[in-house]
Formats: sequence, structure tokens, C-alpha cells
Amino acid sequence: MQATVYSPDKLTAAQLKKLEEYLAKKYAPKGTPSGKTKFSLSQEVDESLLAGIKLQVGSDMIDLSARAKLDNLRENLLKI
Amino acid sequence: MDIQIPQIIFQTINFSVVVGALTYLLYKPVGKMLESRSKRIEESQQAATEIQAQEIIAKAHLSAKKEAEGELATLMKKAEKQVEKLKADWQVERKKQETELRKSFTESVILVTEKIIGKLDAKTKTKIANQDIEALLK
Repeated sequence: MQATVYSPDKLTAAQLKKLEEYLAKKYAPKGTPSGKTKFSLSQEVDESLLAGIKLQVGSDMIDLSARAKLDNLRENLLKI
Repeated sequence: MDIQIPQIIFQTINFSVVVGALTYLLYKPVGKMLESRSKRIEESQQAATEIQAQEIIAKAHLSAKKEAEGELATLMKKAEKQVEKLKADWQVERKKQETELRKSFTESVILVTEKIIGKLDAKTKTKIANQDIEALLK
């Protein structure tokens, strides 16, 4: 299974390993032991994210970046 | 036919007495009565004329008052409408300014925050990435 992690700086090997653990746990098909599903995790640097990470797994997008938080903040401030 | 002087004198005196009596008993009271009646009629006419004049003046006043009231009401309505329009315009303008101010404030906040985050060192950014990964693992 293909996954991509975006971050403003390159992630360390330890961080990538933890992310692989997360993917195996979260996206393993039902009935399959978590360690059995292999993920191909690629990494891309995106400075526009400012800080934090953004993870894309298939059509799923988990955006924890500072950019997403700022966009959310902007939206909320304009709603008030 | 003989002219009888005593007879003529008697007739003359008789006529004068009759004329005097008529003047005293009839002409003067009737004259007085007519004069008084004429005076009363004149007074009544004068009073009627005055009343009519007063009525005309009152009608004119009323008409002018009504007209003035009508004009005043129209002016008031016009003024009220203008005030309402000004209020509405002011509300729209205020809302617009508020929106602009909020937008400007928001953009400033975002810009400053972006700059602060952009100046974070690599160690802090790694820490933030670690926090994100830990949040995913929870």
C-alpha cells in the first residue's frame, strides 16, 4: 500500500518508522495482523506546510501541518 | 258766499290742535319706533356680517391649518424615510467596515504567525513533527 508523508523538513528515520507503525495499525485489512501489511511510505518536503506533517494514504488525507491549522484559524476568525 | 273770519280762525286753531296732537301722539312715537327698529336691523346686519367674516376667517384658518398639517405630515414621512434609508446605509457600511477590519485583522494574525513559525529552528520543527506522530499513534 502506498502512502506519502509531507513535511517542511526531512523526517528522521525514527519518525518514519513510527509512521509506518501507525499505518500498519490503522490501515491493515480486517483480520490481517498489523505487522503483515507492508506500506511503501515515501517522503516529500513541502516548505509551505511551515511545521508538522501531512499524511496521504490512498484517498485519505491527514493534515496536521501548521499550514492547515492556520487555514482553519483564518476560517474561524472570519466566521465570528 | 260770505267769508266768516271767526270760522276760519276756529278752523285754523282746530287744525293746529289736530296736527299738534297727531305729531305728539303718533308721528313722534312711530318715528322713534322706526328709528329704533332701523338701528336694531342695522346692528343685526353688522353682527351678521361680523359673524360671517369670522366664519370665513375661521374656515380659512382651518383650511390653512389642514393644508399645513398635510404638508407637515408629508414632510415628516419624507424625513422619516430618509432617516430610515440613512440608517440602513449606515448599517450596511458599518457591516462592510467590520468585515474589512476582521479580514485585515485575521490576515495580520495569520501573517505574523506564519513568520513566527517560519523562524522556528529545526529542533523545534522536529519536536512538532514528533507531537503530530504521537497524536496519530494515540
